[in-house]
Formats: sequence, C-alpha cells, structure tokens
Amino acid sequence: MAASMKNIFQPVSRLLLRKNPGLSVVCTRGSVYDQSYLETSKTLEEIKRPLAEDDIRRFRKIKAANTDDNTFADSDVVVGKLINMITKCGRKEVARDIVMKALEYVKRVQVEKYHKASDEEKTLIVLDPVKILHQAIENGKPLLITCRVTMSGQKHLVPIAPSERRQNFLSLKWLVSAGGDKPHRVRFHDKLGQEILNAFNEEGGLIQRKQEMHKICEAHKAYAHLK
Amino acid sequence: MSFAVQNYFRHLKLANCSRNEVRIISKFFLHCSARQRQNEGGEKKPTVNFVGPPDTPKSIAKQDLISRAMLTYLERKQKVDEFKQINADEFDLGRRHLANIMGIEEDEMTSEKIREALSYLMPSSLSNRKARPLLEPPEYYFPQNVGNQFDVTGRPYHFLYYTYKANYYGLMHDLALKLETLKRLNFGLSHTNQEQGRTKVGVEWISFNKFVELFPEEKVTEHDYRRFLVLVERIDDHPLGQKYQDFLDQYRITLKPKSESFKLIQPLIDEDGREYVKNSGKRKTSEATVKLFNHGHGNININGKDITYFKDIMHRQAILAPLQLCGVVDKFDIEANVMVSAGPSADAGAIRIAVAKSLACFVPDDMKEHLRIAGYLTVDPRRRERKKAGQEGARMKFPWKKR
Repeated sequence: MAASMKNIFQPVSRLLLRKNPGLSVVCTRGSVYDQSYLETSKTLEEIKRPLAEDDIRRFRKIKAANTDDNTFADSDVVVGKLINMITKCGRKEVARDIVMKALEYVKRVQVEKYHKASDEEKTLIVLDPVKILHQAIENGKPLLITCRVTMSGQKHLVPIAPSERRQNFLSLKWLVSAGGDKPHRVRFHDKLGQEILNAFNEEGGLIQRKQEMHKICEAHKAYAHLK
Repeated sequence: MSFAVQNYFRHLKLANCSRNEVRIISKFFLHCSARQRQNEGGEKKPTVNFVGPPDTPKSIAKQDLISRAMLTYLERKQKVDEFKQINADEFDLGRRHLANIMGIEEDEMTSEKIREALSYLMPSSLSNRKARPLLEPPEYYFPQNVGNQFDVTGRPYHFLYYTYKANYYGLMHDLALKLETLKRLNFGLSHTNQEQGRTKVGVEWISFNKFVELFPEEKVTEHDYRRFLVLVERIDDHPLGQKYQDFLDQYRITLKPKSESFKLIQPLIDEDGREYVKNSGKRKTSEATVKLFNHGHGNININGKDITYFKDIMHRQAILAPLQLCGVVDKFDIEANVMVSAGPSADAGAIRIAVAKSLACFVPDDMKEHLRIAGYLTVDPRRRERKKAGQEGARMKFPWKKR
C-alpha cells in the first residue's frame, strides 16, 4: 500500500484510473499499466520458487512479458543489458551477434588456457563466459561517483555513493566504451571480449576508468559534505 | 422542472427565513444528486422531537419551549410540506393522464411504464439523460431531510453540518484524532522495541465507488477519497498502527487470488482425433489465431512456413517461451495463422499470447501460475505513441539551431 504511494511518475490523465493515487502528483511520462500491475519475474529460479501465502504476486495483475523475456538456457539479465547497450538504431540482432561473438572469444581464450594448464591450475580456470562477464561487471563497479552541485554560483564536483542500479549501468557503459577504444583494423567483438577478460583479471580499460573516477572523488573529497 | 424550482424558492421566501438560511437550503437543494435519489427511502434519519429533549417534564408548557427560531422553522416546514403535497398531486394527475393516453390501467402505471411512455411520446435525441423529458414524484427532485437537521435552538445536530459533508468530515476527524493519538504514544519511545505496523497483503482499500456509498447524502469527490487514503495509509504505516487495525478493516476489501479467475477452454477433438485448443492473440496491430495440438512432436506451422517465418532468434524464442517454461516444447504442435501482420515482434507477441492461453488449458495449476507470473498470460496493452506537433517524433525534438 505504502509502495503504491511512492511512485509519483504518473500523468494527471491517469490519476483517476489509479488504484491508490497520492495527493501530490508530479507528472513526467506515462505508462499504460496502472499502479496495480507488478513487474514480471524474469529468471527461472524466481518463477519456479513456490509462492508464499502472503506473496503479493498471487493477488495482483502482472505486466506482459517483453519480446526478449524468456527462460531459455542462453538468456541472462546482464547479457540482455549489454545487448541493449550496444544496440544502435534498433538493430538488436546485430548487437546480439556482437555480444555472442565476444563471449565466444572469451570462451576460446579460456579453453586454450585450460588445455595448456597443469592439472592443479585447471580447477581454478573459469570456462563459462557468462560467469566471467558477471565477474567483470562486478569488478568494474565504482564505489564512489561524482555529481555536480551548484553552491553560490560555483559548480562543485561532489563525491556520492551510487545506487546499485547506477553502479551496474556505469560498469556496463565503461565496458562498452573501452571496447570501442581500439585500432581501426581490430573488430569490435574481439576487443570487447578482450576487455571482458581484462576486467575479469582486474586490469584493462574498464578498471582504469573506475580508478580514474575514484581519483576524481579523492581530489574532491573536501566537498563531500555538500550532499 | 424550472417552474418547480421557482415555486420552491418562492415558498422559502414566504417563510421569512434569514438570507443565510435560504443560501444553505438552496445549496443543499442544488447538491441533491442522483446518488441521493437512489438511496432515498433506504435509510431515514430518526425524526426529531421539536418540542424538546425527551426528559423534559410535562409540566412545562409546550409553548414556552418553542423559541422564535423554532417558530420560523415550523412555519417554513409547513410551507414546504404544502408545496410538496401540491407537487405530489400534480404528479399523480400527470401519471393518470399519461395512463389514459397510453390506454393502460391507472394502477399499472409504474415508474418504468412512465419512462417507456415518455420515450415513446416524446422521443429525445439529447445525449444527456438529465436533459430528456421526465415525470417523477417530487421526492425525486427535492431533498428529503431539509427539515429535521436543527434542534430547538436552531443549531444543527452535527457539529460539522455547515461543511455540507458532515459524515465524511466526521470520519476524517476521527482518523486524524487516531493518528494524533498514535503520534503521542510513539513520542519518546525507542524504535527498536516497537511493534512494527504492517501493511497487509491480499487486502486493498475500498474503491472510490464503494466509498461514496458510505455517504449517501453527501457529494464526496475523487479528491476527498484521495485525502482519505492518505490519512488511512499513514495510520497503517505507523509503528503502532496495529492498535487501530480493526477500525481500518472496515475500509478494506479482501482480494481473491488471481489464479481463481482463469478462463479455461475445454479442448476440442480434431478430424484426426487429436486434442487441440484454439485461441487468438493480439499485439500492437497484429492479430493471430493459434491451434495448439496436444500429444504433438514440436512441429510448428506459421502461415505455411515452419519457425523460419521469423528470421531473428529472439522472435523464435518468444513463441516457444511459454512451452519452454513448462518443459513441453516437443509435446505440442503449433499451427498459427497471422491474419494481420505488423512486423516480426508484433507477430511473435500475438502468437505467444495465444500459445500461452491455449497451453494453460492443458498444464496443471502450478504451471498456469508460472505462466502468469512470467507475464505470458497478460495481453500487452502498449501501443505506438503518436508523433507530437513541433517535434521530430513521439519524444524526439528537432535539432536546436540558433537561427
């Protein structure tokens, strides 16, 4: 009930259709779904877990699944985000192709490493490229970011702790931009694969970018009290 | 009707009321809504003893107790009653006359018959129902309880009478008092040892329409309802809100689990003796019908093609997603017909909803719930957003140029 009040991004025209509308309404962009609808459960684990007696999903309507929402073995939330981030002009199939090739590159490198390694080292090598991507994104998450605050006409960079959503976004964004920073002849998917592997090993463009951000935050720590 | 209104006010003026009283009564009259008319007769307020409180000893003369305000009030009431009687007589005359025209017995001329007769004799194409010709008893137009809202001294019974929504504001007053009580109790207590106020799952606040029915004689608006919700939710969220849960439960309804409202179709039998369910689906402007055959081998037929109807793997996965979730991709055959195509994504969405709806007829209950939670059983209501004037598209603006 209380959660329904917190969502204030509803247009005025839909105000009357909402189930539990609040008094103060800031209208930005609308949604065809009214507030009673819940988000879909995306992963197989989430869906198949038995519902508790007081689970709210039992009683509420659920939004329609998106076209790319499925529970096939190759579907993954982070991979999906990466594909969406690389997509240009709505050409998702091209972006998917690039990401799959990058993951293939990662797999090839790891398998080669695996065969060259001794028996003891073999157990330590991760072969699943999706797991490597997850770890790479985890390694690239910044702990502090800066935001601009205007105080008496002067703009200051103020270090703040980002939300997890923002951390994920920045990590993915820096990974893609690090992949784009390459010589002319090198293909994007190969460079992206390299960057994923590098970030997995705590090095490369993504980690560099993160450290730069931390340096800026360190330099502006005097303004940390502003926000 | 307008004549009746004028008449009504003329009588009021005759009754020597003060200007303020006329204003109040006329406002009350204007507020008399259709809702009130429906509820009339259902609940009548207890009639008021104008003479004095019931404990008054009989030795005191009646006349002594009647104040000047009371006298004017009684005069006014008499005039209003007379006026109502005149209107009732007029209505009865009109009713009998109408019965005569229509060739019906007088006793059989019910309000339904009157409405039928009027729509036959005076057909009106006005879209607003209130503007059409009407013949109703005077109770339909005039508020019932104008008379007995005041006591002997001329003061209203309810302390919130002059808000016009005495009962509504009375409720709000109660709720606000309760919230203040909670705040006072909470003051100075540490937050660790408190019983947490919990929001109940599976219950919802009563809808606006139900809320309005609680106040039959008052004009409660959408805004009033929202203010009520704000107050009620604040009490519910309060750490000590448990104290008033019983009171709040009066304004709650229990939700039914969505799984109980599945509409299942009985499977049909094909010419070849195969079980199937036929369903249609829509997405954007695409329309598709799907026959889902039980005991199949995973064959797919979309407009005469197999799954290569879709070039992109995303769309291929989309139509198989419901089957894959239930683990029955190779146990059902899909025969889809896309009647209107609006692009691959829309086609895949239309087929998917039809497949999921059909599949729900075959699989056990827990899998139906899985399909619902994953969002496969919800029709996607999103549509293309229109282009705006002065903009490049729906959201995109023209590039900014200084001049």
